[in-house]
Amino acid sequence: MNTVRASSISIIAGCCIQFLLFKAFPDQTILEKVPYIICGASFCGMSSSGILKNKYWALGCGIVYTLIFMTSAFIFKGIGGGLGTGACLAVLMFQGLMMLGKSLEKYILSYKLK
Amino acid sequence: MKKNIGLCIFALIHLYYIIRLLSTGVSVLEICILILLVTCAYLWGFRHYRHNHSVDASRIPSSVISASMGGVCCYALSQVTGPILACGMVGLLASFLRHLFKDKRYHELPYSTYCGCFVGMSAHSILPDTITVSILAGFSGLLFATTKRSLEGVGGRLGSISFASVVCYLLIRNYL
Repeated sequence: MNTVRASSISIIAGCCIQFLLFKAFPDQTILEKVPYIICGASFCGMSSSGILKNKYWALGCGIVYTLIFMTSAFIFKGIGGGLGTGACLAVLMFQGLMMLGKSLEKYILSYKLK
Repeated sequence: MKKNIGLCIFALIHLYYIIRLLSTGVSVLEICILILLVTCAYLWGFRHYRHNHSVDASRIPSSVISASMGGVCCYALSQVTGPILACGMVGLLASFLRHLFKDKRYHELPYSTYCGCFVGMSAHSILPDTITVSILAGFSGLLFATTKRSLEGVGGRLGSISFASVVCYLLIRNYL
């Protein structure tokens, strides 16, 4: 299955989830954001295994994306590609975080060896 | 440096996005952390994407046309189903294009169509007619074909490309 199909299926599933949740909880306006968050998080999941090494990295990236989305959603409302750009930033940010973590680990190990 | 022009384009798009975040009231410290982490990732990208970045010109027409069609389909469908479901449905159909067109030149049709789709997700108040959508989506297809090797494998790359084309249009419309 290619990444486009995987992302599309996730998006359609997200819309179905929102529909079912709205039936159960019709007063919760926050449920309107569910498809947008799932859509953007699926873009994070489209990364190759060289970028996101395992499913836990993908999970972490999705959490970072949600934080970016909650901050920036209303600025880029209606502009196509806004969700994807947020997702790209989330992946880059997470990758940067992992790189800094590895560098710190190497530094601490070399310091201990001394 | 010529080989990293694609990465520079992405860096500009993301810098614009981050600068706009300042208007939300996000603190300068949070923005600095975001810039630091993203810069680390870009530096890794500059080091790892030094291989030959040659543009395959034969793929450009198919990318432009497929992106344009994806954008128009998504734009039309979003009036009925909303932009997210429209994007999902058009993307799902586009993912089967690879089985229809077996030639190696058309292997990236699903990705270019999906890229054009994101332009079609724009609100009707921002992109008022189908012709504008098709032109911008075609432009995003062109950007996709020419920046193919930049940030390869990073999720959200297609969305960044579409965002760039829509933002360019908005800047031209507002300031010219």
